[in-house]
Amino acid sequence: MKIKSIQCKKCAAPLSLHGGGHRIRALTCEYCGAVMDVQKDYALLGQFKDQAQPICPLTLGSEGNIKDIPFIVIGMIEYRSSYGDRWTDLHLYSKTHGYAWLSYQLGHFTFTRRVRNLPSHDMATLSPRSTFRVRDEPYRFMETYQAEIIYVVGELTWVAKIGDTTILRDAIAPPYLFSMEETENEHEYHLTEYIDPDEIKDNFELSFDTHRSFIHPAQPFKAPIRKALSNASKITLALSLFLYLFISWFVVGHTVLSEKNKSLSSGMTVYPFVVKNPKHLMEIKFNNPKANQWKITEMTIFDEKNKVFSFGNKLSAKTDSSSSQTGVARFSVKQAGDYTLRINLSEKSPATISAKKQTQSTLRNSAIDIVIREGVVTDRYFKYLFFLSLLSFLIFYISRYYFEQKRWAMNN
Amino acid sequence: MESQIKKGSKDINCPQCGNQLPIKFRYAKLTVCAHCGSTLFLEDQSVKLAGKQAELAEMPSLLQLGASFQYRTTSFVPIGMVRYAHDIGFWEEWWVIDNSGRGSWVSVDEGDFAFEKPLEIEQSEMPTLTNLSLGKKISLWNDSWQVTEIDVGKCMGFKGELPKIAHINEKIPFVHLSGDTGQLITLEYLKHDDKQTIEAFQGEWIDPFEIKSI
Repeated sequence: MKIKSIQCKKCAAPLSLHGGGHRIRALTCEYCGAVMDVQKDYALLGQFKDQAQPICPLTLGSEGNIKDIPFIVIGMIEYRSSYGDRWTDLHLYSKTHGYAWLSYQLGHFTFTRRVRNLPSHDMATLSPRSTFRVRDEPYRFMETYQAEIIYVVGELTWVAKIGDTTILRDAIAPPYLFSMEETENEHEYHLTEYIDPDEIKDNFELSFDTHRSFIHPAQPFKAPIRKALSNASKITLALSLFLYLFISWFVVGHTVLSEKNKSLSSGMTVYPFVVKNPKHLMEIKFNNPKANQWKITEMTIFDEKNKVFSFGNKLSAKTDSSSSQTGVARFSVKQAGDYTLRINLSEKSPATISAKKQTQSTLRNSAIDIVIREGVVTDRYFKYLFFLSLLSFLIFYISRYYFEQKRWAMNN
Repeated sequence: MESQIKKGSKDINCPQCGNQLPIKFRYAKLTVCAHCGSTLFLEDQSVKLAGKQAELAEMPSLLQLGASFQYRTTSFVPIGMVRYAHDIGFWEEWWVIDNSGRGSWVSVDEGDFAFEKPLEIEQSEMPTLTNLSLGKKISLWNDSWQVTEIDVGKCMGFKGELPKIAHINEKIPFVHLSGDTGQLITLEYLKHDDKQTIEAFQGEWIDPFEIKSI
């Protein structure tokens, strides 16, 4: 871009004119703060003394592409809000797209341009989080605040003065922010888009720390890994739920032993059964309704000669509040043939049984239920997969919820 | 010097250099020969040579003659452009046609883009220029409009095909009227043979980032 330069009418410093078009009204010297009227042969309009330059990675004359359009920084204004926040607005110029703004605030960049689209509601009457539309896009009103100019340099399309204030009303639809700027004479509307700091870094060939210390109102929630995980989880979530329900309802196996209301007697009881399909898992379910009186101390599977499986004390069983002993265990055998289930039952010592219960006649009438099935498919892995998928699916939405909570908490 | 427009075709030959000029807009009234730069007035059955204008300086522009672009869902091709000067700079008016051959003006002024279509108006219903002032609110076609700009544009030059006759250095007073919801009306106050004619255009401001080259 061809750069013209002039001498400051106050301090004679060489000032570059960065190519702003015919609407440029004022040029403020970056060295002494002298303000000159561009349209009146750079006549001196005033001077802003002792200006403190804001911290910003871009400077006057920085060039780079935004949304694939080449822009140059021609002016710079620092604002302070009524809440004490500060940000720098960089005035941009493109020969094909005219004027725009790149705002910088503590690591965040936003790109703003003036629009003529009016909001569906008067923004001055809106309360936080209320919704309205701009060109059919929904926005949520966020805040109203006053901004004061505290620093000015370079070329601007109007004569900006230190201490000038404006009322700003912001609404968001990340990555967009729609704002109304209210001055004494007019209402202007601007559309702001959040720009990733790395994009500015690359496109303007700059080197700066891209750390962001707060959530910007227009900052989109970005968690690509969690998002991908969440999307992928939809498949596993549906699949695991389907398989879990299918197995639970339809793949129940073939019953090889079923003893219902079997009377209890102390010592070893033997239950024979035949296994025809040894390739698949087997399952034993039992219910001992009077576990406070009778306790299963050992449960063993034997083939014709040897012990092939013993549940012993590792038996997956629980004693619930009704004092019943129930359990489910899965095991496998190597070959088809005749097997036996041997259960060792012991009567609990009278000391452990209340005197009241000892008098009950049910003591000797209690029964045990036992069912053994072959060809069982375990469903617990699908249950685990379901819960893992659910967690993976929700983690994106939970993270986004907390991100939004922080966004509104920080900016309300 | 005149040459006849071939019947059934809008292609013509430049009466100055003989170059064949395909006319893209059937109602074009002016075209500039891309070969020799001659300005040609296209009349009903003839082409009138209107002299040669100094070549317009090439300025960076989002729109280029013959380069199609898309705005929202419609494709357009710019076929002509007039450049006007005002006190502190210039702006361009591009004549673009859509797929169905309908024409619109796209006004381009330092990134401010507006699409406008010619309006058919009753001359007697239009406000006179002397009755308008900046900021004044007027009622037109049962809507309220505010005068947001009054200026004079001076024709600096043109290229391509245009639906109207333009003259270099012709001064055209114009008024911008803005509606409550972003609509725009431009009134141009033209003088021909001491008779004033008002031309009206209605449209809207558009975002240049919505213009996509195709």
